[in-house]
Amino acid sequence: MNNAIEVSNITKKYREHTALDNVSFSVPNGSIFGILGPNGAGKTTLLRIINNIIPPDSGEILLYDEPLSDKHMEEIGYLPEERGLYKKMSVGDQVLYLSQLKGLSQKEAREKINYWFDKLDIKSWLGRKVEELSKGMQQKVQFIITVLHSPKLLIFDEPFSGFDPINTDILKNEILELKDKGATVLLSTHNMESVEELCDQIVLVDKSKLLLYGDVDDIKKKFSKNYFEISFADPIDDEKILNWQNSHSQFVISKNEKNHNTISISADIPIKSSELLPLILQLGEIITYREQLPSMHDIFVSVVQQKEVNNYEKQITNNN
Amino acid sequence: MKNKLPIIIKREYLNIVKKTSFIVVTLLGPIILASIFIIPIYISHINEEQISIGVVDETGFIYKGLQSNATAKYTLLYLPVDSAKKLLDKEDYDAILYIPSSFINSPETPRIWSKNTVSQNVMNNIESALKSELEKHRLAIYGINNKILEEINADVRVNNYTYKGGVEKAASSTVATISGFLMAIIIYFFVFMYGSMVLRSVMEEKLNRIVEVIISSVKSIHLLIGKIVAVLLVGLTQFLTWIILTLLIIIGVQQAFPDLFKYTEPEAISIQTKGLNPAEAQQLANAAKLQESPTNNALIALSNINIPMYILLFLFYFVFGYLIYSTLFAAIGAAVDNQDDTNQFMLPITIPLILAIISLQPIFNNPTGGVSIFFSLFPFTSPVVMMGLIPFNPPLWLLITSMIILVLTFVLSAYISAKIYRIGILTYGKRPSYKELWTWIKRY
Repeated sequence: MNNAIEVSNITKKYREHTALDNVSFSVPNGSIFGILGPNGAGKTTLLRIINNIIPPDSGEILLYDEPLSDKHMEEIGYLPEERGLYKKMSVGDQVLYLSQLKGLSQKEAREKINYWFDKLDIKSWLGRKVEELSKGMQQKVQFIITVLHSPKLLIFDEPFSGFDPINTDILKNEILELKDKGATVLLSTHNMESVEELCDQIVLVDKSKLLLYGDVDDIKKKFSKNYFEISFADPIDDEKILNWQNSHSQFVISKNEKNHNTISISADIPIKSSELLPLILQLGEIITYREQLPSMHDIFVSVVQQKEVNNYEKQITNNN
Repeated sequence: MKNKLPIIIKREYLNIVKKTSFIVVTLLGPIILASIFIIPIYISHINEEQISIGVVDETGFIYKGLQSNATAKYTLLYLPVDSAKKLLDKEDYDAILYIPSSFINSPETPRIWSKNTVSQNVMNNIESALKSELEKHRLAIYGINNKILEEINADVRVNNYTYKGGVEKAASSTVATISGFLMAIIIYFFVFMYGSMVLRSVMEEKLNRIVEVIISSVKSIHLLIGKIVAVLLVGLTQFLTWIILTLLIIIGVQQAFPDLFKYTEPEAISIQTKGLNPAEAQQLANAAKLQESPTNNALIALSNINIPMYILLFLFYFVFGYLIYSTLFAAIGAAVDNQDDTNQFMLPITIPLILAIISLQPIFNNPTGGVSIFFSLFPFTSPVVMMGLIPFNPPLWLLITSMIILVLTFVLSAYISAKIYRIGILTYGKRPSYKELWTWIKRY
């Protein structure tokens, strides 16, 4: 069993628009899998389908090699983007209620509630009503509700929204810990930084279609702009740089305005370090040498915008 | 997968039952209900204070009709009316009645001056006394003897009995009307109250945004069923508490004031024909009065109502009326996300209920008419109207047909509601149009 989830050819149409158009991917067991996409791309629909909350129009979902069914509900922990709690009910009572709905007995649930509220150091909240808690505090309670029944598959939709940086870090660490314990995590977020930190693989969905799918590292390499940053032991004078540029016209060299020890080199064609390194040794003694990979943020923006440009061009061609 | 329904029902039930407002209403209800029974009986036993009325009678004989009684004491004054009025400033009289000499020809002329407003009861007594005295006088002018008049005078009263399969029972259309109204209003009130509880509960979960977490754990239909069953149990709990507490209060009051509730056996009367001596006549009058007493009448008629049958039918119409309305209310709660939109959808389904209440009076006047039959079959009015009609003994076929239609309507409303609920609870934003709701219902 290699894959926790297999999504094959899922299509879901609403009356006015298509939310998902023939989407397929698989989520390896024990990985953290990012689902990215702009607002309204169909991510929430996808997550609801995987949660068996709504059925797809066509296509199939396998969960641990079995077709998705009601019995999987207890194996999934889902933190929806639109989430809330009963305002008038005490924190302890509603965590107990919701975990019983996930199939825990009262006794099991109480033990786990103690464990988690201890772990996050919020045990004093148990008797309080939700309306007395701040939004961030409620988010923590909701996180506990999602993980309490130790599900094999965790689905987080924008888990970091509303958290301060300290709590965001706590949450990231908890997610990594859950992964270490063998859980598979599906993470939908606009926080690209956390995608880089946490995700092994991603899919990028836009306008109901899958645009990108693969390992985060592979995708970054694929979108590499052939951009290198090199710093030297001594400052490099401008004349040296000019001379180098003149004799190596396939590259573009530029000096860092603030730090005269550092230069950057880029090219339109893929650069092999084995070729570049000997060439720049002429400039001086190298201290650091590093290929600058694009951030997920850049990739997200360029893929989504590129597609819009393509669509626009297509439209123009069609019109002509 | 374990059955989660009991967990949901338990939470929903406790959530309502533990509310202060619920506890208050549950405890106050019986006090109000018991007062409905006790206060009228109590009032009928309170004696009005006797007021003292001075009478200035310019005709010289009309005053004879005024008999002092428990509520008023009449004293004939031989004074001009203006001097008599001044007596009001002293403590001697509470009111001065003035019968001018013109009264014989124009009966609208008498006047009464009083310190405080004279009670309706006393006014009625005075008016009828003056009327009968004037009538006597006019008869005498035409030469009709008073004795002849008394012999002609007939006190007619028709007693209503139901007759079924050889069994004869005293019936009272007043009791039927009152208990019909009461039952109809209680059903209306309950269906509305508990239906709205379901609506609020659905809306709360949708607006809290907790619903998505729940339906990732249980099927939405289970959540819906859990809610509806829980509120039904709340209703039955409240109903049962009310019955028990009301009975306890009534029994308590009955023990404390046994005289109030006694059924007074009328004296047996054997004298049939005219020629009564005054004592016998008095006896006859007393007996008749006793039989007319509202307490006795109600007690007889009430004892002839089949109470267990009544309660069973009440439960049936309450349960199914509630189920139809609560499923529709749940669908509304799921489809909208603010109170204004709720009202817009509520209106069309609450109009029949209100119409049912309004049409009760005409229906009671003609319990077997076309309107009655229509309203007691139409499922959105039948719980109210049928409960109202039951004291009038509706035909069996009508009862059974109405029950079948009600159950079938519930099946349909549950189906529609489940469809709308499933999609509605996850849909935010613009209020859906009826057309949109229809596509939700059709969607797989």
